[in-house]
Amino acid sequence: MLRSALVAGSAAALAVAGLAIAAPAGASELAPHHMNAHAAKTAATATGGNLAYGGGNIVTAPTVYYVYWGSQWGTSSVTNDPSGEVALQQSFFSHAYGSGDTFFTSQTQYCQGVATGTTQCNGAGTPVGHPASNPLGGTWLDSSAKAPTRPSTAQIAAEAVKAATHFGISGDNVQVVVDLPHGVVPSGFKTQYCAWHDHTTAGNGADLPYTNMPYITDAGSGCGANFVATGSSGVNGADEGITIVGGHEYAETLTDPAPSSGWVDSTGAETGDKCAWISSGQGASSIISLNGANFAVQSLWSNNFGGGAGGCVTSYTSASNQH
Amino acid sequence: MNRALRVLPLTAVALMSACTSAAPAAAPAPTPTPTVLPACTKLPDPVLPHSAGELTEQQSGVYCLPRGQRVDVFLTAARSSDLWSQVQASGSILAPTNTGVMTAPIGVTPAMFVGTTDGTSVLTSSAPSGKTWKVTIVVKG
Repeated sequence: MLRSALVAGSAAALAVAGLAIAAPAGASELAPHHMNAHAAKTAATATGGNLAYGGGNIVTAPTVYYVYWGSQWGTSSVTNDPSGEVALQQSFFSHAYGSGDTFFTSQTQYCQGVATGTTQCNGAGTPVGHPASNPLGGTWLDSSAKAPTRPSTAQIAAEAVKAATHFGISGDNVQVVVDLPHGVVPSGFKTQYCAWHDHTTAGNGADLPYTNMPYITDAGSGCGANFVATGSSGVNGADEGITIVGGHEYAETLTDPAPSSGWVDSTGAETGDKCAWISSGQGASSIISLNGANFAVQSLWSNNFGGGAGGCVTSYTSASNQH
Repeated sequence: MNRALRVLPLTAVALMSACTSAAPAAAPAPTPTPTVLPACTKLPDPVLPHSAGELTEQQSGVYCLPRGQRVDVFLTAARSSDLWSQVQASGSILAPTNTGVMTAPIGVTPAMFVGTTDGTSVLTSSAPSGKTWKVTIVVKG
C-alpha cells in the first residue's frame, strides 16, 4: 500500500510538472497584423474593422487655433505664403459648422462615456461635437524668432504650448495647429508623413492636442496636390492637399485627441487613416461644399455605414443618409 | 521486532523523502532556458513623437528595440504600381499600434509596432515587382 502511495504521489507530481511545462507552449499568439497601405487606392480598405472606443476623451466642443510659427511668415503680418495656405486653412475651418457642413458630421456618431470597446454609440454617452458656428478660435503670427529649418518634435510641441499660453487655452476641446512656414522641412515631412497630430501638456498642466502642419504644398503631389479632379468647383488643384490633410488631422483630433485613447481600429488606425488617398469608388476623395464654399477632402470612417459594417464617407446627415 | 516493524520506519522515511523531493518538482515553474538574443544595431532616429526609431526600405539587418518602446516603419514605393504590402511581424513580441496620428504621403506604407516582450521578430513586406523587405527586431528590456 505504501509503495502504491509513493508511486501515485510521484506520478501526480510529474503530471503537475508536465502541465507547468506545457502551459507556455500553448499560449496564444496575437492575431496577424494588418495595416492600411496609405497609397492611392480604389476603395476603402476594411482591414482593422470598425473603430472602437478606447476609454479616453473625445472632443465635445471643438475649437481650432492656428499659430504661424516663425518670422519666415513675415514680421508683423503674414507676407510670405506663396500658396495662400493661411487663407485657405482659415476659410476651410470657418465654413465647417452647422447644417451647411455635412462632412465632419460623420464623426458625431463617436462618443465618450461608454464602455471601452464600444463601436456603436447609438445615442449613449457624449458625442463628438459639431460646432454651431465658426470653430476657428484664433490665429497668431509668432514672429518672435525664425522657426528652425528642421524643427524637432519637441520643438514643435513647445511651440504649441507657447501658442496655447498666448491664446489662454488648454484641454481636449481645443486643438492648436502649428503651421510651419514655406521651406521649413521637419525630419520626415514629404517622405514619411504629410502632417501628424499628438498631444502634450499645457502650461497649466492640462492636456493640449496639437497638430504639426508643415507647408503642405512644399510636398507637391505626395501630399495631395491635384489628387482630385476639380472640374468647375473653383478649387485650385495644387492646393488640394492643404484641406485634404487638414481635414484628416482635424477629424482624427476630434475622435482621438490624446492618441490612442479615443477611437481607433484593431490595428491602431484612426478615422482619417482608414480612408486616406482613395481615388475612386466608395469613399473617394472629392470636392465638397461647406456652407457654400468648395474644398477638396478625403473621406472619413463611419462605423454605422452599411448597416454597421463601416465605410468611408464624405457626406453624413444621419446613419441612414450618408455616402 | 518482527520484520514488518523493522521495515516500516525505513519505508516511512523513504516515502517522506520521496514526497519532499517530489513536491518541488510539481510546484515551481521549470527553470527557463536563457535565450541568447542576437547582436543588434541601434535604430535610425525617429521622425515622429514617442518613437524609439524608424525603418525604411533602405534598412536591412538586425535592429534593437527597447521593450515597451515603438518602432515606426515607412516603406516608400518606387512607383505607384509597385506599392509595398502591409508590414507583417512574425510571432507575438511586437504588437501593432497607432499609425493614425499622421497622414502618410501617397505611396508610403506605414506601420508601427511596440515591443511587448523580450525576443526577436521579423518584419516583412513585399511589392508586386517581387521586391521583398525584411528586418529583424530584437526586443529587450
